[in-house]
Amino acid sequence: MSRRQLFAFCSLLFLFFNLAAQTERKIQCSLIKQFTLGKQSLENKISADIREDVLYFLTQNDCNKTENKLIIHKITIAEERWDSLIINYPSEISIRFIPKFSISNKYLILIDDERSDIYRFIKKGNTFVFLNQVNLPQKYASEHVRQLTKNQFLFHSIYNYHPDENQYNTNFAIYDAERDAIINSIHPDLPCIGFSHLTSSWVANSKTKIAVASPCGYKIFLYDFKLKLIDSIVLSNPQNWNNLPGNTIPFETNPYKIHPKILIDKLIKLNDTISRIEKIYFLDENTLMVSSINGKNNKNTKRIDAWNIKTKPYSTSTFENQKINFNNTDTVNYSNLPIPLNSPEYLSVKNCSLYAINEEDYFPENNIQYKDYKNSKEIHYENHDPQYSIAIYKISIP
Amino acid sequence: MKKRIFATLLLLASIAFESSAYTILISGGGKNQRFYRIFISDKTAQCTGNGNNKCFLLEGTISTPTKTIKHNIQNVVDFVFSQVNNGNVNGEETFENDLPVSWKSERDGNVEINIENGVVEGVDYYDSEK
Repeated sequence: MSRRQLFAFCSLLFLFFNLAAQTERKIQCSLIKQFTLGKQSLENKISADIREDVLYFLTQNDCNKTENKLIIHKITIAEERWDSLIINYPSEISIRFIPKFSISNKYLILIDDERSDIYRFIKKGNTFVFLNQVNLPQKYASEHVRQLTKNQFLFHSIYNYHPDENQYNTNFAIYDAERDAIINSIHPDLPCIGFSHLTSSWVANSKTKIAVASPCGYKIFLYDFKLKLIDSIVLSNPQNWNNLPGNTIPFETNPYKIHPKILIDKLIKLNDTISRIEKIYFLDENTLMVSSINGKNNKNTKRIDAWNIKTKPYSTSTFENQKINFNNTDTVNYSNLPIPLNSPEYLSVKNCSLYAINEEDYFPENNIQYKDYKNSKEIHYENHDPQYSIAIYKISIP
Repeated sequence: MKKRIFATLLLLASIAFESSAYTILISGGGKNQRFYRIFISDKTAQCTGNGNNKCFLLEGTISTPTKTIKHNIQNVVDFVFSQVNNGNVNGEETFENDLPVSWKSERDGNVEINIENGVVEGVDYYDSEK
């Protein structure tokens, strides 16, 4: 063998091992701690916010409509110390359902789930006192709120609204709670808005940026806190990616013209044949985690891209077939768990820690076979009511 | 009576870390039973708020990725309201011999309807083309 042939052979060998190593690489998800949060409510729904390792949450059990009172539980996670914030509100306003909320050092912003009425509270001592209903035109109504700074919050929603709602399908508004005013708003034209009837989490924020994923195609927009578009992440021809042709849903999606039930049926079938971004989270200031469904792949896995957006050109590490659920034959290993992107009632990621609220509190032991855990769980719940719980994981990108 | 439906169906045969559990939530709707948002997620099918969409749960069969409801939800709701209108403001009954239903009336006219277990049979797919 000549030296040139030897070099070529070694190069091929190196490439082979490199590729093999790449296909084996997985994001590591290890359990830090988990604990029970309390009994489930009749309406099986929980609302939560996490800020600096403090969890705030409420369930229907904590919403006393007759006394115009809410209790928001506050748990300092490191110490598992519980406090309660008792929030009174005037009888003139109506908080009908479990409100979405976000808390800063100074303000509490609540969004009632019925028609997105927004309420502002200010911190006084160990509670928050009602200030006013935020005056926001119905067209700007938003489903979600997230804290950006001490005084600023982002209202946002991406949803395929019925035309008679007279509402923007995409709505992003920066609200200054100190001034009680919307200081910026945008309504970007996103394709495939019909997918908003299925699972999605297309908005994330770090300490300086807001990321918005396109419901189809591989595109993510990056905004600053003035909602000025500062950059975008585009993958033109990702590998193993079945893009929706033309980034257009090939059937009627206007809820005025198609019954939502039929629409959802068709979307589910289409969903099984294409790739699209489903959820995005900032792991830290410089890393954006993008979770995508990938056509007919195993439902227990997702494609996950970890984007380094510190300096341009942005680089990504792709993890195909990243597990998000256990299989029956798996052994539970606390230091190498599926990333629980699907099942939690509430999911938030801060500083590479993933906080997942679940509707159950029966935890699998380490090193147990998953099918054995399932069996013992069924027995457990014959005599126990399921309770909410939180699990905190560390996410590490290799 | 102000007819506002606030119905929750809790399907408690859930398994953590798997998406086999499904919660169906109907909240809001107002007197016209029209909803603001309608969507499904990994674990829930929801009709919420008071808007202009017809709730897909109210037509008998629900299409979700994993489960099929065998009872017409509207019939269950009508059954409960007939009970409430007859003075049984809070109660617990078995609907059509196989569906345990309980309900609780609130002062503001809302009625919370709770349906647990037995509502789901097997795993099926609703096919809108059929």
